[in-house]
Amino acid sequence: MTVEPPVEDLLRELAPQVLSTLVRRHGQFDACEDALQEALLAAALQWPAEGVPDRPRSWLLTVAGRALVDGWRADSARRRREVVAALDPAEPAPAIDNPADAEAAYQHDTLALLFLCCHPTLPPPSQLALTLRAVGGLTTAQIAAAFLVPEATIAKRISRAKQRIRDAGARFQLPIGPERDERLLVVTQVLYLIFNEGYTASSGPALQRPDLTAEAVRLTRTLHRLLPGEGEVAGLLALMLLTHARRAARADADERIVPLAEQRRDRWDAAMIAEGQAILARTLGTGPIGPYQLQAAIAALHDESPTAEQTDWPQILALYDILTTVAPGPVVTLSRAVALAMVHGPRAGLALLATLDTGGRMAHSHRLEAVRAHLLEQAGEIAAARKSYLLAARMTASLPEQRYLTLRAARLDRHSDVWDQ
Amino acid sequence: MPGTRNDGRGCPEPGGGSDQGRTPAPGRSRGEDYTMKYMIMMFGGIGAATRNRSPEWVAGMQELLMKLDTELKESGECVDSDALVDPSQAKTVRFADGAPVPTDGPFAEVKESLAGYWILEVDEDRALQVASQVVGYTEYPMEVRRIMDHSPQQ
Repeated sequence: MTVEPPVEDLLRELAPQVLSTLVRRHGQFDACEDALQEALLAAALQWPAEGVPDRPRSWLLTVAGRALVDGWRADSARRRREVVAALDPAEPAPAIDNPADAEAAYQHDTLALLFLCCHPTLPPPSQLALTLRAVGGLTTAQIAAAFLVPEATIAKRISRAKQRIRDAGARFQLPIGPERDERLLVVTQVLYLIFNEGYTASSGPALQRPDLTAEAVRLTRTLHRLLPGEGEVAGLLALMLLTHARRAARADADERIVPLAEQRRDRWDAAMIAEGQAILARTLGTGPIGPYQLQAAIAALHDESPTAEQTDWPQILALYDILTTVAPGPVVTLSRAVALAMVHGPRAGLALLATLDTGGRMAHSHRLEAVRAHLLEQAGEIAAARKSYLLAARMTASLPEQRYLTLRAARLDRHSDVWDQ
Repeated sequence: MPGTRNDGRGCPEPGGGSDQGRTPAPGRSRGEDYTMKYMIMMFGGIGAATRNRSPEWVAGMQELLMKLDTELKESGECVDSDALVDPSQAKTVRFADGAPVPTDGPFAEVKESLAGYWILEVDEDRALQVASQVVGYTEYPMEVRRIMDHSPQQ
């Protein structure tokens, strides 16, 4: 049975609102989540046939409430009396007179739900799965397909996550003060991870998983709408849009990787670029600049350049210099090395890469070797470049990337006059 | 002649079921309807198969494998397939001095290490045919081995 897209979209929009209302009233996140799933299923079955009800949110709340009561009825008579008293299924959900107030209440609750799903007690895979499920409204099957793990694995991950939240005594309320800033950072990291997972699938045969990136963008849009004053949230949204805008050009007709310098820029999403630039322009200068805003600014410089040759690399390098002080790390160093090479030549970039060789496993990634190979090629060190491409190909767990790197190595053979080992 | 799938109709005569006159597999002569699965294994690490090959050849190999995988999935013959990361990235747990010890590197030599596999629900002829299609291009061996049944044979 397939659900019509409009019904499915509506359900995904309402799901977090209904869930957060239930949790606010009753606590017991896991029981409420189960009850919501039943209500969503009922809606998916009935609404396409009978039409969407006038007050769909109330409909879902009522049905989920009944499911909750039925679940608790099975527990004990005492609990049943308490619960039925608190939640009469015959009574419709109380309507807030002012729609603006109702909307504000639901938005607040959705935010609290997002913070709950990104609770620091949960390991990142659980944060991702729970966020996608409770706030994103994705089914377990959809989440499993997105992460290329069996459905049962995701189901266990989600139920264990709900348990941990319960055991940690996490409250369904927005954190305040310095705790809020810390928690918000975790939320943005979770959203960024979801986006990244879809944008460059870390393993498996597909290069991109568009559902995940679209979902990350959607959730970040929601967060930006709920917290318009947060510069890093705006920065994250801008970064996602400016990156996602290039998706059509990243792979060719045969699903082969096309690097940024070779991408057909007429395939970039101009409207999305404009939106990202606008968000960035509004947020820059309103507070201290953060890493997402910086990365967005770098992405914007790439996106605004009509050709690869016209890219403002000195400006990009300047931004990476700032990023290195604000959020240092091997990935930033790697990207900075590319920019450095574009401004000061490949040897300058290679010298910077050498500083990563002593950085341990985190630093010596296939990405490092791939960048090194590229710079060696630019520097005319063909035999060494070939070695590095092959080493990078050996280290990567991404099949499309492995194909790309192997092919680049093979292209060098042709021009190599050194018969290397 | 391409291998035929066992469709369970009728009882092939011993030696008459296949065009090459071989004795059918145990159980087949009684007309039992069971499905056979074969694993087709590819070996070697990055760089070995593509050594001294042109970029066109490398691209051709990649396309052949992708196309074949798609075809086998669309025909329903492929139950599962996957590629493994390069053997150089493997770790092997060995038993040394009375204890299990993880060591870097694959169990076998890199050139004999598993690179990827197809699991096909076909008969042996078809499995060999599929493997031949790849070996004809790569000129490198592939192993074809049947996967065990988990139900008892009468």
